[in-house]
Amino acid sequence: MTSDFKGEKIILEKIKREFGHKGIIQRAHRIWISIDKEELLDWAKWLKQEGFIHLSAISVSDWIEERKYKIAYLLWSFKDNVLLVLTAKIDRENPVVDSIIPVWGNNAQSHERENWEFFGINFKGNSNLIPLFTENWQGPPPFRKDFNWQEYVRDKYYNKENERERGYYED
Amino acid sequence: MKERGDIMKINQEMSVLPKSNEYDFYFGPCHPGSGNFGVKLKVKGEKIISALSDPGYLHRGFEKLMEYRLPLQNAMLSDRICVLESLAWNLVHAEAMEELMDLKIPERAKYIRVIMVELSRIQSHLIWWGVLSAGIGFDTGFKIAFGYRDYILDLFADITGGRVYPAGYICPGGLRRDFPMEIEEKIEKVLDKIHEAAKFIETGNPTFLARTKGIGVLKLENAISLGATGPVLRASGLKNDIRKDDPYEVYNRFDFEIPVREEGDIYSRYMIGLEEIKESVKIVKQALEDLPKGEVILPKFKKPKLNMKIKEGEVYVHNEIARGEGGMHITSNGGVRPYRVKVRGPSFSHMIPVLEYLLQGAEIADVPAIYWSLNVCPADLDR
Repeated sequence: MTSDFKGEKIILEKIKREFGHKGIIQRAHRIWISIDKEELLDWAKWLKQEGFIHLSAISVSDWIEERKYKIAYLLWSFKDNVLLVLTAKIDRENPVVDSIIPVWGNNAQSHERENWEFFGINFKGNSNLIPLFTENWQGPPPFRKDFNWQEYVRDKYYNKENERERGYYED
Repeated sequence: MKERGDIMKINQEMSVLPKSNEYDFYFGPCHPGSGNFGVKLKVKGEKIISALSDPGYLHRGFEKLMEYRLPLQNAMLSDRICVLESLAWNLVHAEAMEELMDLKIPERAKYIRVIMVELSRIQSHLIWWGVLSAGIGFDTGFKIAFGYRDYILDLFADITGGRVYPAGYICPGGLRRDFPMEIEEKIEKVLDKIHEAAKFIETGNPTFLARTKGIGVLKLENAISLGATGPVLRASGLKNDIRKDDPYEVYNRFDFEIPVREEGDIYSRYMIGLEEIKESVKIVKQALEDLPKGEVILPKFKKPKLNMKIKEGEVYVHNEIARGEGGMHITSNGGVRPYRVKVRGPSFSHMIPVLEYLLQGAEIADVPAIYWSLNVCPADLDR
């Protein structure tokens, strides 16, 4: 299937006019844009006006060597059938980013809750950050790269004195 | 043993106790119809004032587990994301990996993938109808649905070796094995059986209609803002289908319709499910007719090397699975294992914001009906 990315190019041109910013067309139906986290709300408002009304998910990855989190907002437009991924980098030591609840409402709220729980990112403006999945969790946010779940499980749930569980301590 | 007089006394004491008719009410996680999921309800009399979803009972941390494993091991993990449609999640994972590794898989594998995923959609929709029937006390529907679903599970056992879990049958690079001998005729026979099942589903049982029409109404603007996808969104009136809008595999070669309804109530969601079963049967028939000959897996994946590198980069792949948009965002830093996997399950939106919204103002008796009408799966919410 050959495609000339017509719809995607029109969107990129609009973005260039509005923000003077360049995005990447990865393939048909996919646009990737990386921005500064301070600009997030302006972008969110504008993109929703342009038809990106469906927030598919918020995905975070932990780049521990760079000391950064990379947050990606996956947005779908039913009008243009394009998936736009808006990415921004957040400082890992002080992870704060604006909440997008004013734009995508309750749907964004639950996605933010998930990432607050698993990565410890603070979403400024989200007043309902309570855990979704874990119960009475005392450890660090579990999806961070420096959290070793194998070690955690061994220390918390196994007993070195128990003959049958000693194997877990031998590497 | 208490004497009769004692019991009368206790009854008298109890009757003075409740001053208010407002109380907390838990639906799940031990309710037989809720699955591994709970909803905390605040109730006044029979009416629900507010609802709070309580997920997490099935959280297995697949996203983290996948960071520790090779792509072919992850193919096996990806089945387990959703019990009810494991093949569909197999496909999402395989496609994402292939896009990262720049693989072009054989034509025959693409056709077989479509056949398997559509059969999986049919059995998943049969479960949907079955549990919705059970949720409103129509047990016959439950038994009919699960009975007919078994024909498809037998097919899966013949083809993949597993009835429910295919153990990574759809893997990066193609398929683990080809169709067995004479399976095409068996599939045709099962499709006839499904046709039979659809007739049962169409029956307009008056009690069923009374329990489903006009209840649990989700308007289009709310459906979009709360993040609904798939059949739930189509039942509210938006014509959309990732198979057509962002085609994958060979869906653009087949002729099928996208059923849409306007009402957004339980009944319309149920009818969407029924119509989608019919469309899936159409797709499977077309795919069987055009099924090309040849290999089903790339040669280098027949005996895969353990140190196979994944190219640096990131992709987002989403498919129209039975419940809505199922997607995976996979990032690689050039190693042999994915650096980060994010799973986007359709039930995440359907069971948290959508369910909480729909339960507000509903009656207690309608909770199971509304819950199951959203075609939910706690497993893909929790991951």
